[in-house]
Amino acid sequence: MHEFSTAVAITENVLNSAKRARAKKILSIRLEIGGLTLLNAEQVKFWVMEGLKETIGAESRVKIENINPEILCKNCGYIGDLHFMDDPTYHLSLPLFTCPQCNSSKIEIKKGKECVIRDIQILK
Amino acid sequence: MHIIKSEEGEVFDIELEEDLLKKNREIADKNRETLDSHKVLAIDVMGSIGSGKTSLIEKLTKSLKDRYRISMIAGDLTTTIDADRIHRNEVEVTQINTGKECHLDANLIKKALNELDLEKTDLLFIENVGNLICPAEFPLGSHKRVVVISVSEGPYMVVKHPYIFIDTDLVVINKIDLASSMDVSPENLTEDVAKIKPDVKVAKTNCRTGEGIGDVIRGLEL
Repeated sequence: MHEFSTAVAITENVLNSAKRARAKKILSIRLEIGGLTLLNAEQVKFWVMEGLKETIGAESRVKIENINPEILCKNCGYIGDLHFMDDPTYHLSLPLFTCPQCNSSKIEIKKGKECVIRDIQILK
Repeated sequence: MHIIKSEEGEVFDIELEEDLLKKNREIADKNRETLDSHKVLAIDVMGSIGSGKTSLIEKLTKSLKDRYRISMIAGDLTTTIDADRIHRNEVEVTQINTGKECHLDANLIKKALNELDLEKTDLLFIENVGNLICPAEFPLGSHKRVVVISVSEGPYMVVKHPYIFIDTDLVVINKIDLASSMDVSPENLTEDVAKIKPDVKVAKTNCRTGEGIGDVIRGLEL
């Protein structure tokens, strides 16, 4: 939903970091987006590349990696993947906010809500 | 001292590790500290446009105003219509007009908390902007989150918007008086909620008459 504003923030951040490092060119940008954010990676990439046009990042490769959701169950201590319900009724599988081990809803999301600029590669 | 200078045309990797959504979470944690230091219980009320968020808060403030000193933060794009409705119940209301934004975020709540007299507040309702997607992404620092859905939004509201229920403590299924004319089953909606998050409490209401408001109050342990 917030792909455009997120992409603007990413672009500004990347360009400022490259400028501080006195880069002549940005070669690549590595982003990580959590599976529980409501950010569509393809749309983020599109807007980042649009924002970099006519900048030193215009030719950079933008790579987005997905961060798999990870939960901690406060009831039984399970740490691991969130489970999804595979039901043919739904085009996308439905996330289940419960512990796959003990079915408790007392879970804490440990991973999956991030939108991280991991690193950039620059040419000096 | 060895000074290593980069050569012309050399390639460098710069680690940034910058999480753009982390800032909101940090401000939300600060908001929670502010609320706790003033002993204010804050409830974030989310739901789509027209689901009955304001009606629910209106009925809750009427039922609870003798037991709690209640304040409200009303999020809306441009109007004060909802804030005015609640203000009529002698509740202190701070309006946040987001302009074009589709959700409240922790920074807007931080500003609103500065405006409110927290010393004179025990219970704070935060009415989020009408939207079932974006508010899920932006915790505000509230102690509890409520999602209001209504039968007039159709039978698939829960399964189409599962992510709004991640951190939800109570789901209110509103307009149950219209269930048969809408041909939507509140029981099926309840089952859908249980599928995604079995422990979450569900209250079925008609916020125009006040039916089910007691269940909401019990569900929120107020």
